[in-house]
Amino acid sequence: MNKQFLLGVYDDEEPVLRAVKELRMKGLRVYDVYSPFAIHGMDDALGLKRTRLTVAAFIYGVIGMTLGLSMMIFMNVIDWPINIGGKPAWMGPDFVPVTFEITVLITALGMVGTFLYINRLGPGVPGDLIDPRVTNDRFIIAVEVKADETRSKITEILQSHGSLEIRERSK
Amino acid sequence: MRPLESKPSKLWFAAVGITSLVMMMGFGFIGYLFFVGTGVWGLNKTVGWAWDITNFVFWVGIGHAGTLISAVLLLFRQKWRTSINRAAEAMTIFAVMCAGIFPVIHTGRPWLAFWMLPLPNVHGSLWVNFNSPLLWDVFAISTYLTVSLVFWYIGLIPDIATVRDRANGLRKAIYGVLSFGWNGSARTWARYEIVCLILAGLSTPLVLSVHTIVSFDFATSVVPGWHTTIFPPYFVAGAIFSGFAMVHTLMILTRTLFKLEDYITIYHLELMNIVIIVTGSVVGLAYGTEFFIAWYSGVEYEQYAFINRATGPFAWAYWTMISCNVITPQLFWFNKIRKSVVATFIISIFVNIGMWFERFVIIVTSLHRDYLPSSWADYSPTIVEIGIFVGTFGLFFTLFLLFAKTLPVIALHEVKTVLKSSSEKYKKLAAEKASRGIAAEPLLTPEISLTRKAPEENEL
Repeated sequence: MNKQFLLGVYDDEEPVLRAVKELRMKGLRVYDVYSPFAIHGMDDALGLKRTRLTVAAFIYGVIGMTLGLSMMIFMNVIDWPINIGGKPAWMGPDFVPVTFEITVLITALGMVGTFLYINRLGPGVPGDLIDPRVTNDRFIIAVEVKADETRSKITEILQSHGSLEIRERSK
Repeated sequence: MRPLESKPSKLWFAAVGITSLVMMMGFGFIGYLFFVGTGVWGLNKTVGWAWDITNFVFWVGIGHAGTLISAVLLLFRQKWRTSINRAAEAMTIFAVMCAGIFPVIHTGRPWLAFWMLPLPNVHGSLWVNFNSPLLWDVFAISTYLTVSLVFWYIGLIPDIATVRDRANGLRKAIYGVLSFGWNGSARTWARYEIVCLILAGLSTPLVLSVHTIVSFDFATSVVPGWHTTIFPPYFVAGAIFSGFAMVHTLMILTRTLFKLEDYITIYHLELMNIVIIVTGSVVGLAYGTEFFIAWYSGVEYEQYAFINRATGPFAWAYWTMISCNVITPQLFWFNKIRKSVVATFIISIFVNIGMWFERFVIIVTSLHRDYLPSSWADYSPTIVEIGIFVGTFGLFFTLFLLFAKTLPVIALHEVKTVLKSSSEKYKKLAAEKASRGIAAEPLLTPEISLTRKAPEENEL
């Protein structure tokens, strides 16, 4: 796959946001935006769908709660009930703290695992870094060039918002 | 960034040298303890918990401020947290590590510590007892450590990427592996913010649950002085109180050692001092409430326990606690003291001492007088107990110094967000003023005072 990209480099977040909005309004597909910090409102400007990670977190929570509770019921009620002063083996409130802890643990680990997986992040992953400056103080808009005639149009829009430089990159 | 990219100073080497020596000494004492047994401690049949459990509760409490700063203040969208949250989270992790040492070594045969885990075993199929608060603690502390570690590392990833892209050679390779291939894409950022928010949402009840469960270790027993329903909120307030004091101690050292006065400002110290007044007063109120309830309940054992606490053989510890925890922090009502770095540092040390004594008072004074006067006993620590405790400080500071030298102590990407938004506000304000014919004078609000450092941002 050989895709052509035009990269607009900026030194502030505001023009980036405006440029992205204009590009999308003119029907051009913005491939991605790279920035040193999260830009407020960028997900709307790029038209990203709201992430479903919250749903995943809830599912992990339910799994964690079920696992924790059933583990304790199996161990202390079914498999080997301990007679403590004749009290019943099933003592609901006693199981609350550990259920809670296991729920939190499974939710946190599951969600972070999912986050790393969907973003292709992991220890030692090479990563597709577009420019080393984007993690420091530069902002880059990457626009895919489908046809050569759009090239000048994209360049024009990127420049009109005060880009410092415009580069090409193929992937 | 500066402390990270420059060569370590002589001061840093000296500090690490001292702290690691202290740490080694602590480990030496632990080795001696393992070899000989818990008889080397000053415990006896009546006072079965003392120094060791005091240290455990003390360290866990310290950890709480880190989570509070990073999670609760994130949920409340308090921007001032950005320059202190990273270091506070690191502090949490190291403090919980120190805390974890104590329950394990106090079991007497720590090589059997895995018996606390719900594993299938050879003793028939005897499982762990989930009705015991001590077992709840095992789960609470290990979950707390794991989740804090994950939260901290997730926060670090974008900053490690920044380090990676400014470095060369081996450095670049190492930080490259650690940065997980971060590329700053908008999609990743959008999900990243959600993940941080959910982790903060999870950590908040978690941190409250951890110290609540620690307090259950005491509150669910029948020992007068422990058997009180106010223990959970009282312990949580105490934990935040002591944790913020430790954050102060560390932050003031860090900002001096690494010259970060521009990022950790007087404003931050002042806000944390306000938290200290609030939680310190809550703790003071709890001390009073305990006495009131002892009297009001009409239970003579309870009444004796508290009168003995304030006037008995450990009265010196009790009054140390009162003066360090209740009286000293009230000095922060004075504006000058609240804004003074030196005063804050001194008071934070007092609070640390006071909070250690609080746990000591609760544990030892409640135990040393049993129901039967024939079982009454005394307690004094041995050199081994003191050595191990001092050793954990060595471990704590060694880990913290290593962290401060190898990873960004300040959450770079979060500070950048605040700098940007505040610099824009400043620009607007200046423009407005200029249009009205007033010269733009520097505003002394904290956000703006950060702004004046904006040109240095590239240096981050």
